[in-house]
Amino acid sequence: MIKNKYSMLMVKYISSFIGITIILFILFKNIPERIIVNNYSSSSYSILGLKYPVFIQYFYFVYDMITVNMGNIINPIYSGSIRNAMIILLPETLFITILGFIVSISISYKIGFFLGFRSNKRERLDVNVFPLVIFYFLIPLILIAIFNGITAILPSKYILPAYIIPYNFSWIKLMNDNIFISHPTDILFFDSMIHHSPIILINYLKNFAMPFASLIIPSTVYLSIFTKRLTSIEYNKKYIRIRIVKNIGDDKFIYHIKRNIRYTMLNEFKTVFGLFLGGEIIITYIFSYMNLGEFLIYSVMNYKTGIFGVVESTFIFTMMIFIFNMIIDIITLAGAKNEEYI
Amino acid sequence: MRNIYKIIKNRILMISSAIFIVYLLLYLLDIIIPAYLGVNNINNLMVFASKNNVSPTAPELGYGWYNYLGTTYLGIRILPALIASLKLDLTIVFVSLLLSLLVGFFIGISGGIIGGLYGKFISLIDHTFFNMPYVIFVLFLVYVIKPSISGFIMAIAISWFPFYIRRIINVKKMDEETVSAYVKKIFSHLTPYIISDIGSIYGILTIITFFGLYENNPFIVNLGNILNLNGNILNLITLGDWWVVIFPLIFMVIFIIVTNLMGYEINRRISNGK
Repeated sequence: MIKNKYSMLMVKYISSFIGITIILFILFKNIPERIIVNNYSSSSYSILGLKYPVFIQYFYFVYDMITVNMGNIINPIYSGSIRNAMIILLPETLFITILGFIVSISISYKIGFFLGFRSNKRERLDVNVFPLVIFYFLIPLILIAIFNGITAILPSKYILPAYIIPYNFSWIKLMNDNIFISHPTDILFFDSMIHHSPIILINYLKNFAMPFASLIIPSTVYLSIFTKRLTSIEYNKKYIRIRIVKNIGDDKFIYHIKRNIRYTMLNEFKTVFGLFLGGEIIITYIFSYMNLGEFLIYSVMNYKTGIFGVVESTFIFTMMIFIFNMIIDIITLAGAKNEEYI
Repeated sequence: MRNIYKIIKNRILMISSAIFIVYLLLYLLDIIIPAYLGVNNINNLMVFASKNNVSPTAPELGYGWYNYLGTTYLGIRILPALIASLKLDLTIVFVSLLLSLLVGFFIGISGGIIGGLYGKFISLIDHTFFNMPYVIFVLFLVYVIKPSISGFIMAIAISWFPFYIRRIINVKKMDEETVSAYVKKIFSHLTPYIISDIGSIYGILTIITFFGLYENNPFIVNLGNILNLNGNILNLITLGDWWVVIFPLIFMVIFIIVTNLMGYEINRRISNGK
């Protein structure tokens, strides 16, 4: 039965992957061919398969997206090959995404669970999640106004101030306005620790503070409210009330509540993660923070030269969500399997 | 009459409906008699520019209502500019909402009525769309369609209709239910979402235009543009001119909160069978 469910899940995700790539391909084909050819070298016809029928072109397109063989780009923050852009930008993007979401989940779980036990109201779960995107736009602007404009405590631009790099740092290079290349991980936080550089680390953390806070505040607030409501609904259910009335003096009911809300929460994480990535794009643009999101916005702004930047970064962000959703579904199925054995 | 009485009885619904109506009235006034803003036409932000001072001035009382919220980049008065922005913004919101509702309704309801393999196919399409991050998808659409007013409408409509498909699919058709009863049930289910979507799409439009994608008119009268103005607003807030961003944000947030509260309250009443 469970095995069958795994196969169903695989089928669902494979068809979903095909669907996503078809949507991207349809959008890609709506861009004039001269723009596509101009952003590639003369080999575009053979690499992108433009000389073949559209059906064959689709497979070339998917292959090129997966292997990041996507030509060149010129935009205000980066000029060069898409592959190099991904090598430089992806590690920092993954770092802030993973760290931000884990922090957000951890804080909201604690707060939501704590508040849920203390709520006597009859709660409902249908909270509209969409305004979360608006908060990703609102909070960075307010934080800049307060912490940079009025109080001038924190910097509001770039991942690191350019003046901080003296010549004797061989492991870090300034490439453009705000593109830094560091070795070995390309993540400034780790590289500054590996190379024992407190100056870079402190400056990095100062620049990191506002974008990171803007990123985690909306999702933490939303997930806290959601967890609170979920816990409260479960806590007020009959089986828990009976245990409490009968004064069964163990903490097992907390375990039951946690177990019963787990899968609803995991499902909600899927929705929130999609909006979280959307928020990351808005925030990194506002803070000019070195990230794939900022790269995507500048690619969208440059119609004639940004095509491959738009396609590849959209594909990568979509795959992040795709993989995250798949992991959540697998965890849910695995959990259901364990509970069947119990 | 009974419905109006119910709205008055619910304080949150009453207050939010009143604010929503004020926004709608301003929107209608923008279309019918823009002269109430002290200008002949409201197609360019520069018509609101102060002739005396091009640098931003803080909010001040006593110099006419135009200056209550201060001025922004190039001396553009914030309050009349915000009110005037409703004309374009709400037009885009209403048209794109209507388009997405129509497309989503027909696809979703056909999936619900026909069911079977077709219904599963519709669910799969829906699942595919939800694996794509919304903001990125809409930006990609804006890129492909090209940033223009009709481009924004198309991009928002295309990116929004999957939400309606999902909402309609969630309303299951009973075996004994007639098609007209099913359609009525769907409309009753969708009403609160349509109201809250007005606010959500307004927010999304502001975000897209904030990126400065619309190049045809750098002074287009639109909230996103008032918050961007070719990137100059971000520079101004770092100089301490907080009002250039805080008031437009409050103006936007009030509208979004109001529409969402209305949607939430109506949904609550429908769920409670009132």
